[in-house]
Amino acid sequence: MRRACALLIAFTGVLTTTAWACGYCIEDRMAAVYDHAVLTRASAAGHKVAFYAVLGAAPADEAASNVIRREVETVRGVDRSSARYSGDLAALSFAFDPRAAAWADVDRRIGRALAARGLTLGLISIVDRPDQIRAGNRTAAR
Amino acid sequence: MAHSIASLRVWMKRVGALALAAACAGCVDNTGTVDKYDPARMDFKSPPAKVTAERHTGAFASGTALNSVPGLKPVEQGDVKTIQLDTTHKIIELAPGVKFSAWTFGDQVPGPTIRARVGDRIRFSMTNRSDEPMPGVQIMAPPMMHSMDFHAAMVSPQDKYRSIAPGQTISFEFTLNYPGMFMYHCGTPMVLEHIASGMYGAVIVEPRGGYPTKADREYVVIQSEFYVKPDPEQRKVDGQPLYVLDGDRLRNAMPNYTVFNGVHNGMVRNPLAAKPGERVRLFVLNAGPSKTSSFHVVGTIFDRVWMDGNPENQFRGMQTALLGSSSSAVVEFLVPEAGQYVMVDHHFANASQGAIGIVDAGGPSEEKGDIEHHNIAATATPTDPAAVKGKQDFESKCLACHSVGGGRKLGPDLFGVSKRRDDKWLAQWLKTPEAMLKSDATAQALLKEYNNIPMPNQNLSDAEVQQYIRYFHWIDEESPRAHAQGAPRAAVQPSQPAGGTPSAKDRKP
Repeated sequence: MRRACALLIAFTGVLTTTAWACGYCIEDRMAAVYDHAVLTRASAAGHKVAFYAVLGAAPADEAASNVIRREVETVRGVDRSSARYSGDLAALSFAFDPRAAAWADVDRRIGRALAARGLTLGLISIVDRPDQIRAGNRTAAR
Repeated sequence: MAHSIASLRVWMKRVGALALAAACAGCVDNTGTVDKYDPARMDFKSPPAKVTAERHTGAFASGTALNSVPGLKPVEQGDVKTIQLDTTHKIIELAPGVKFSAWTFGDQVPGPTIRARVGDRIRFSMTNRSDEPMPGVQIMAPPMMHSMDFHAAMVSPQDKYRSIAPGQTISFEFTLNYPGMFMYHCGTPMVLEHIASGMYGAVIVEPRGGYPTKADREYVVIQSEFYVKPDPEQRKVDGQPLYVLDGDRLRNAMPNYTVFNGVHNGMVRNPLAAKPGERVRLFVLNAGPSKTSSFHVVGTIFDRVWMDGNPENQFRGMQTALLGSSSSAVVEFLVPEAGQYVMVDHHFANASQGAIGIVDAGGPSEEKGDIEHHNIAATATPTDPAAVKGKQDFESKCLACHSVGGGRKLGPDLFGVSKRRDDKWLAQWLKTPEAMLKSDATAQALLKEYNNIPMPNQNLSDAEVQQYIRYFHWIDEESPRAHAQGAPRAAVQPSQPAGGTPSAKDRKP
């Protein structure tokens, strides 16, 4: 319960402190880390794909991007080779197996890993199939 | 009684005047002129866009307001235009032998031109069909998200221009408030890549009362750049090498093709028809994504230029229309006499990459031979990456002074140069021409033969020198030009003077 409250507070903080200033649609952030093959594979395996906005000074260099991808993929439940990160658009996506780990746990662990870099995550959407792509929380990415 | 009627008339006139004044309140500027762009007369109502998982099937484009060829139909009657433009991934032939992995609207590059009128309602829908296999095509770019950004619309981009995933359909509508020629393009990141892959087109919005002049011919000309490289996986399409987007060239704004209507020299092979005495109206859009166009038609003067396609933005007697990326102009000119009127981007580096076309108003066919003097051949490209780089460097740095099979210019025709000189000599000459001129008899003879104009030192690296040499070898051994030697010429080749095959004398150096 305490964990859920903390998550809610953190998420509310994201909602209230971000602004519509970047000029990019949220779907564009999803597009930057959209990989049809990852989504198709996840869909076939009964897995899900989560799309996040990365909030904070997201690094855009290749080395840091690779490190972030590796850190995400080491989290239990996340599919190997499924993490996609865009520093330019400050977005992250990955596939995960909801039977192997609850999304809340995956979310918390990845959030913790990125917090060490001064970054926080704003969930945009979790989908099962390509045609489900929707910005579930449009403000979260701002 | 008569007095009463007269009073009533006066009263009615006053009421009428007041009503008219009230109706025009806000649309009369301080000079007393009616402002046709008064926001009060515009329509900004646009319901939220709808995104569904229902796919379009069948044709990739539909709507009577669409024009899929340069020759434009008159604007359709009716104030609602229903438009379907789906996104596809397909292979296009950017230039002869250059099969490019493109992304499209309506399955063509550029996308179809939409023609409508101020006040018309556009009802638009688009399915992202980038995941659909194309008949007969084994190679496609991976499916991805796409979107539509209409510069002709005034809507919330976060709502209407959102990206959709493969299999999704987006629908929205808007009213055209301003006349002009407007770009449309995919706005999904990286926008640069989506436009450079072919996702662009035009919306022509006529003024409510039509244009102030009557044109005999109307054509659309859309300029754009392409940034390509041979497929690193060396895949082939119909036996020819596949070309893919070159991200490095793209980010550095170094295109290898700049074209009209999606094809290198396309409107040289398929000219736009006209007749002497006619008024030709060209709707010209520079889709970019990164270069400026200096649009010019050789042999005439633009009687009128309407910047961004709005007749109120008028210039008279113009030689060029300077168009930044996503800028447009309607240009009108009279065809003074029979002839081939050459459309070029007067930034000749762009013209030399394929931004060239013809308005053909008849005349002797022999004259057509010289039409391509503005640019260079794109009939084939080597597949060896070093030779490709050499070709690209050659085309950007050397063509001012040298031709390949086109005869001597300021410097020698370089066709056959790899057979006349060995690689060591070529490498030294390219690397340090000034040193060669001091010590090498052949170099000294060349200097004398070419009017004492020395070969400049281009500060080339060793790698660049080797790339040039690889390209010269490709020309002499593998290019279609090499294979065509000795065969009768069906037509004059690009970069070659109208005189035909270069003489032995021309080639000697």
